[in-house]
Amino acid sequence: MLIRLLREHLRPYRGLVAVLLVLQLASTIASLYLPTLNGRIIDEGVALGQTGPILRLGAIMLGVSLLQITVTIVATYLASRTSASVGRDVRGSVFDRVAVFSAQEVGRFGAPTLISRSTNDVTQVQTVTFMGLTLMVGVPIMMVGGVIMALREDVGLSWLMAVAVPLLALVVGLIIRRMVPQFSLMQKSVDWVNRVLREQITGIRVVRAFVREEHERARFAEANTQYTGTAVAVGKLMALVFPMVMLIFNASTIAVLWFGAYRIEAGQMQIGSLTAFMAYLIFVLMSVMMATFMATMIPRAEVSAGRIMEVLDTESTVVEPAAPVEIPEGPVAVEFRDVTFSYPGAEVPVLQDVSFTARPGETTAIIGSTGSGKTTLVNLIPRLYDVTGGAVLMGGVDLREAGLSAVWRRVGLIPQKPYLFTGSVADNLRYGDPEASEEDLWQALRIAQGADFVRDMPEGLDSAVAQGGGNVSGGQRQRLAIARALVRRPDVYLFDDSFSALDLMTDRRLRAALEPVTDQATVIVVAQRVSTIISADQIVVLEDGRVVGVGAHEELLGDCTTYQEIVQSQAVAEVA
Amino acid sequence: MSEGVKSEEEKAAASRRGPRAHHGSPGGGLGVPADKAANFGQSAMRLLGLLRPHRAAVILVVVATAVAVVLNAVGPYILARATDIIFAGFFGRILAEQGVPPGTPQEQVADGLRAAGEDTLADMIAVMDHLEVGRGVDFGALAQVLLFVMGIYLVASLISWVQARLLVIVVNKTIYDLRRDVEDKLNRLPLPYFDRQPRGEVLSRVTNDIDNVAQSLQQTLSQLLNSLLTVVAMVVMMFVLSPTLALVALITIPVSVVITGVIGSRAQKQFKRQWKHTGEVNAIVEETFTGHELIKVFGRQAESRRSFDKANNDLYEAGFGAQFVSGIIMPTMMFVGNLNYVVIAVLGGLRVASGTMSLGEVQAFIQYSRQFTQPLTQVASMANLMQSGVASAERVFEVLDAPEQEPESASPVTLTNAAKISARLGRNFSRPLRPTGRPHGPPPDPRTTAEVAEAVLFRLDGSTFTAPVSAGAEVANPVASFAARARSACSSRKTSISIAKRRSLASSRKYCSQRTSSRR
Repeated sequence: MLIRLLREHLRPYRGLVAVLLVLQLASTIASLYLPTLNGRIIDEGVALGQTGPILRLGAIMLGVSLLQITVTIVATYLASRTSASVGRDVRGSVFDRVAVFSAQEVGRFGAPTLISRSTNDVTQVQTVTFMGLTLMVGVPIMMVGGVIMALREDVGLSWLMAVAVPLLALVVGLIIRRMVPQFSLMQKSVDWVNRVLREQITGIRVVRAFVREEHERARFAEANTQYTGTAVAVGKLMALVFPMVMLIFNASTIAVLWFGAYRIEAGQMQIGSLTAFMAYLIFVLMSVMMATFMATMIPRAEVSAGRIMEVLDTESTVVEPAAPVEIPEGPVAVEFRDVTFSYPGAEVPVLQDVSFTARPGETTAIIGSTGSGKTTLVNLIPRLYDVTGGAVLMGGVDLREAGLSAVWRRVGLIPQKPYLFTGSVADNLRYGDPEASEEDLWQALRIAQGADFVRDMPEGLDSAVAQGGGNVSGGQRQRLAIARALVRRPDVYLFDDSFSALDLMTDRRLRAALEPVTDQATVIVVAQRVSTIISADQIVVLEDGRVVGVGAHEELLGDCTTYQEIVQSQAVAEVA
Repeated sequence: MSEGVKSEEEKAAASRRGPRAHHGSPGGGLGVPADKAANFGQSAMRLLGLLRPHRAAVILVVVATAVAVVLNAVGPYILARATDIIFAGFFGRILAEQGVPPGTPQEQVADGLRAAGEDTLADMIAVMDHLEVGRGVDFGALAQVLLFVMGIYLVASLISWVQARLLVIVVNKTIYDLRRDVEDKLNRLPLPYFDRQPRGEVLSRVTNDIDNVAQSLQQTLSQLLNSLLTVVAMVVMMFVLSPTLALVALITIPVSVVITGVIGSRAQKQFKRQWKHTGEVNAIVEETFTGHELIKVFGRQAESRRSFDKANNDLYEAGFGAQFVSGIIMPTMMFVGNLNYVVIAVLGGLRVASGTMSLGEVQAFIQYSRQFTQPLTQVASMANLMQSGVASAERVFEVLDAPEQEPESASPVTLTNAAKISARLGRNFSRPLRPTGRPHGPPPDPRTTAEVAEAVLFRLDGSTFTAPVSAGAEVANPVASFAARARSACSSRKTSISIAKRRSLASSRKYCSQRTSSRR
């Protein structure tokens, strides 16, 4: 997964990466050369009582060090650029892919996880890319180079290396292997603890009202205990690593001294070589350590890459047609013809054989109990979903054959939970039409019964709206959303339960104000309240995804049992 | 699943100080945003005070760390003797091969060398230990030294292990207690406390901040002590070996500190920029994905892409900068270390040649000076981590110190005969909505407080309500305050529902009318 993702996104930077590799090679070789020079200082200088070589070799060492740092800085620069570019590109790819998603794909993942995949997961991949470009290249070179240089110093001791290196790799590897599953367990435990706390805080009233403090405390204690247990287990494993590694390092040093002494005694080795060999052995051991630690970073990045690829590999179910058909201009009718819709993998369809026509100049109301498929029905019209059976036609053209933006241009959607964007009130209203003048905005607000509270706001139209619309009440948000759609002057209005947060009087005034504005347009209203739709030209009654009645209020009262029940249950509440 | 839910507490934490550093970010503690505690000294003391119940273990940890550091510091010094033994053995053999009669005393050999014009060699040979012309390496002595050192290292490793284990247990137990106390406190805080601030704020303190404290505590306690003691030990050993060389080596301290300081502060600036732009990108992404439908249907995809591209590019620049600057630190420290290596190799070599130091001593010195720069960098980067940890601890303490609500009478009120409970409720309390088609009524024989609650909530008419309660029922709280709480449960429209207990706790929703209050 990670490889696939990186291969794709590193391709434009092939050149940089190649240069990087060369630089890393140079840097590592420079680092590796220093112990040899030190060894020669001893063998050619100290052991022979000559000071000249000492100074000469020292100067070379200095030069090599300078070279090494220069090369490393350039390499780091390149690595940073590359990894940051990869991060930017992947973020862009994810953004673009989600942009073509239909509501189905977004709903399948859920906005929160899409957000996290495009932020946290990308950062994870970016970090690992940087580490990879700097370390993952340097470390193997260090390992191989260290072994070669050590062997150059003395082949006779090479068996020591053959023992020490695998031993270290084995020990560290075993510990890490035990730790990795514990890490993910720990992550889950943290999630559990935090989730319990989150529930307790957001549901504090419920907990208190039902006197569940003891119960909650016990629930929390369980989560807390499990987390602590896992953390301790991980910590204990971690505690083992450093002492074991140091022990192996030190034991290797001692072994080299002992066996090296024999070889020196036999005249097969020089002292300086011995010191150099020791230094190289430590080099190799250190790089093995780093390699194993790097190996722990990979699984995490794999997971992140997997999540990103999942998004990138998902195709949208709603596609642009190859040759879009024009929808006729002017007022258009919206027709549902034997429409069936079910979510993929669902046993029962959400909508089944729904047929009706919403005509221009008329108000068509959709009513039904919760879960009867009303919102899904409305979402089919702007092609947020595509039907799985039958067809939806606008102006006689099947939506799937019309261009997406052509459909969107004709529709004004006021969703159930209206979402406002960061910016000013005016910015939000201009979503409907960026060219709208201030007078247009005020007019829309007046119709939507929102002019009063906007005027009362500190800066009127320019007042800031917090993300998601958190600084206005639910009813105000709805009215702003209605105004936003009004500014657009669409041919089709889709009100998805848009009057629910308003009290009866405002509801009535709003509908009255809407009438003249929408008299040419096709208005589709989804509602729960009978009083809202009582005067609609056509009421479509939905139950369990099927149409059980179509007609005006009086007719339905006469012959539709579901409608009668709905009216009755609401009448009781109304009187009170 | 809490994965990726850009929930309230994350928003609060993010708005306050940006996302936290990731594991393994280069520069370690440098990646943590500069979060300053209002009262560092006091909060730090209080934080350490949390460890008090485990003070025996903490003292043990400190002592063990010190012992391990000392042992590790002494190792190379003793190992130096081993190198010297080998070196001497080497010369003993060579001299014999060169024709010097075995058993010749050192002084004589030295004089002979001086006569031959080899002054440097002469000086070195004159002071060499273990030198015996004709005898090679003294394996007996070598074995002794090596075994001794092995023993020291073994003990040092053992102690390190024990100390690390202890520390893990201590830190985790402390955090467990802290979490438990905070959760406990939540149940005693008055409701206005939660209303007064954004929900996310409280959540963040109780989750993110405690996590941060745990991480800081663990890392600081284990590494800080170790690093500080190691630096001190290394310096001491270097002086013991050779004051002159030590002074030369010590020049690198100020150099390293200055470098880390300069680069570090540059890196901090870059990280700040990175947090800022990450926040911007996150905000745009969140809006775009949450308002996905609206953006499409209102045809705003082009604009949305444009603003994303701008923020993305800004983040790219900032991210590159941060990574580069912080990535430079390690190589630079390594360079300083290498410089040290060069200087000491040359100077040391000269001193061995002149007989002022032994070869082993120089080798040990090199090892000390190499082991010296790394703890320094660690200490430097730890400053940020500590700041952040104490700042988080402060926020957690604020929760623990918040004033509590008056305790309610703990003793249950037992009703001895079928009594009627009546209480006054405000006008806001609406009538329950009966779900269509399903029969629904109060529990017939309310005995527990929960059941009484159901009964009470169900039978409402107007501003007073009554409910029959059976004999012997135990009501744990005075009913008036109970009713007030029940009322507030309903008037809060955003009553959340515990995912695990959906059925039982969701019952509160059933009793609240769909009609909202008259405030408009």
